[in-house]
Parts: sequence; C-alpha cells; structure tokens
Amino acid sequence: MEPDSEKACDKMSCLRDWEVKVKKVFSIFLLFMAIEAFAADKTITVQVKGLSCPICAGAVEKQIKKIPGVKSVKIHLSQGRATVVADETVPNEKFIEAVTEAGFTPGDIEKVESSK
Amino acid sequence: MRAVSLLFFAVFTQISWAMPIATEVALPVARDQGVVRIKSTVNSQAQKTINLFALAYGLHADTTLIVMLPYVHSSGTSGLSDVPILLRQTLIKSDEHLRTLRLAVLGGIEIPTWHDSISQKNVGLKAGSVFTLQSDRHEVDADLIYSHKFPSADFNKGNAFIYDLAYQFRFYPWNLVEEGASSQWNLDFELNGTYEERDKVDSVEQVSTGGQHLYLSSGIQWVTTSLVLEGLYQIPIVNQLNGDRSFGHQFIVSFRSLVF
Repeated sequence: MEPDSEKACDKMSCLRDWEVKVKKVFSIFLLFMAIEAFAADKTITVQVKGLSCPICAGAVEKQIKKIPGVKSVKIHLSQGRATVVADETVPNEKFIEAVTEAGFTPGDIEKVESSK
Repeated sequence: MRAVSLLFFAVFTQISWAMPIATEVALPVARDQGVVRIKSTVNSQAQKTINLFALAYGLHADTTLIVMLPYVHSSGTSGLSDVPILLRQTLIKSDEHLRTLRLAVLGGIEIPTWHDSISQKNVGLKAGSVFTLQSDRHEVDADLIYSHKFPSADFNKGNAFIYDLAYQFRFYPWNLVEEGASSQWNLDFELNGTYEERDKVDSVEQVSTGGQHLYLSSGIQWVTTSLVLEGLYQIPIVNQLNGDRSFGHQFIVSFRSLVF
C-alpha cells in the first residue's frame, strides 16, 4: 500500500509543480502584455534628401515599415520628410539605415512627441 | 527580318525602373525590394510585338540586379528571346531637398535562347553608364550602352551602341501637396537611338544588316506610391538601316509596380 500512496503523492506534487510552472508562464505573459500596453510610442520626422517622385516615396515608406516596432509611416514629398510612429525603444539609427538602404540620403531626425 | 532584329535589340535595352519610359535610369531599387515591369512594344511596320517581363531587385542600396524575359510575337512565330541579366551600380549620388543627381554604370550578359528566328544566337556582353538629374518637376536622363556579341560557329551578330536622352515634366499637380505623396502625371520626351554593325556569316559582312536609327518619342505617365502606368509613341527621325529596310512608328505601353 505504501508504495501506491507514495506514487499518489508524487502525482500530487507533480501536479503542484505544473501548476506553479503554468502560473509563472502566465505571469510572464501578463507582464509582457502590460509592458506592451504601457510602452511609450514616439513620433519622429526623418529628413529624406533626394526624394522627388511618389514611387520613390513608396519605396522609402516600405523600407521604414520593415523596422520592427514601427507602427506607421507617412512620407511628405514636398517637405522631403517621413513622419514615423514607433516604439520608444527603436533607436534612431534604424531610421537612418532604412533611408540609406532605400537609396536616399538621410538628414536630421526630430522627435515630435512621445505618447502612451 | 534584319530590321526586326534591330528593333529587338533596341527594346531589350530599353528597360527602366523609375521615370523615363524607354531608357535606362540611375534611380535605384531599395535593398531587398523589387520592381516588376510588364512592357509591350508594338511596331506595326515590322509586324512585331515584344512583351517584356522584367524584375529589378535591390541587392544593396546602390546595386540592382535586373533580369528580363522578352516574349516575341512576329509574323507567324513567337517565343522567348535572348535573356539579358544586368547589374547596375550607382557610383555618384548627390541628394538635396527635392533634387537628386545619380551616375551609375551597368554591365551584364545576354543569354541566347537559340529560338529559330527570334534569338540572335550569340552570347552578348553589355556595358554602359546612366545619368539622372531630377529636380522637383523636371528630370533629365541619359544613357550610353555598348553591346558586344561573341561569334558562334559561323555567325557573328553586329556589335552595337544604344543611346537615350529623356526629359520629363510633372504637369499635375503643379505644386506638390503639403502632406503625403499624391499621385502625379508626367509628360515624357525622349530620343532613343541605336547604331549597329553589320552581321557576319562565315566572316562575310551581310549587306542588309546593321545601320542606325533614331526615334523621337513622346509619352505620358501616371505615377503613384506603388505603381506606374505609362504610354509612349515613337517616330523614326533617322532611318539609315543598311539594305532596303526601314523602321516604322512604334507604341510602348508599360506597367511597373513595387514588390517585396
């Protein structure tokens, strides 16, 4: 009988271990969700030199949108600027890199606002 | 038939990804992006239509790979013609607000498909340079390309020079909108010329081959942030083909779109 009760106890402790693990995973998930929900966005403008046609603007927009954490991009052709909304954590160098990879010359980056 | 091959030759080299309709341009394709182009060239006198499918892929911000698949319909025959594969490298780039200047070199090979009456049947090498100056509503493009053909057993297609000069003018909107990038309409004026040496068969020059021609072209295009629709009408103003041959008027319609 004793071995059976030991086995039962083992099963119980296993279940408890699993419960603890599931709780941990769920807590971490909730933590990430909370960070995501409360993470600040930033709105910046990037100067794009050399832009003068809509399809070139489209190419720059596509390239910036490939950066993880970028939420929206709008190109203003007449101003030669891109307005980007992205996670605060996205470094400005990424925008410089994207404009360069699109074949144009990046200029100043200005932060317009931060928001939650 | 020789006039047809010259027309062919001109069309092969007249790919473009940015603004001019019939010429090479220096404006780059962004890294890891692509531009597809579907272009139809109709020459009523030669009774020939060339449907070109082309893909340009940005290997780097300044390096573009171009692959072209020309499908030819010509008096009773049709098929895939010789396939050019080119690399374009931007060497000089000067960008300012609403203005860009580019100088690029390009080179590559042309792989024959050996199609009976469509292929030129000689492996070709192409090398050239392309210049672009774009400033707000104006754009000027110029290119010069040399095409060298390696002889096969008994046939040597003539080497050639291709040259283009293009001017474009944005007429709508007259002034760019304050916000965003609206679609625009451009007028396009081009000169598209080719000079080709005579072909040789068993080292003997063929009388009715080679020569030169120059087209005066005008067209219109609609450009959005993702696609370009355009049409071009070409009138031959220099028609000095060897033998009893001539070039007729020509229409080009084309669609281009950003991909990836």
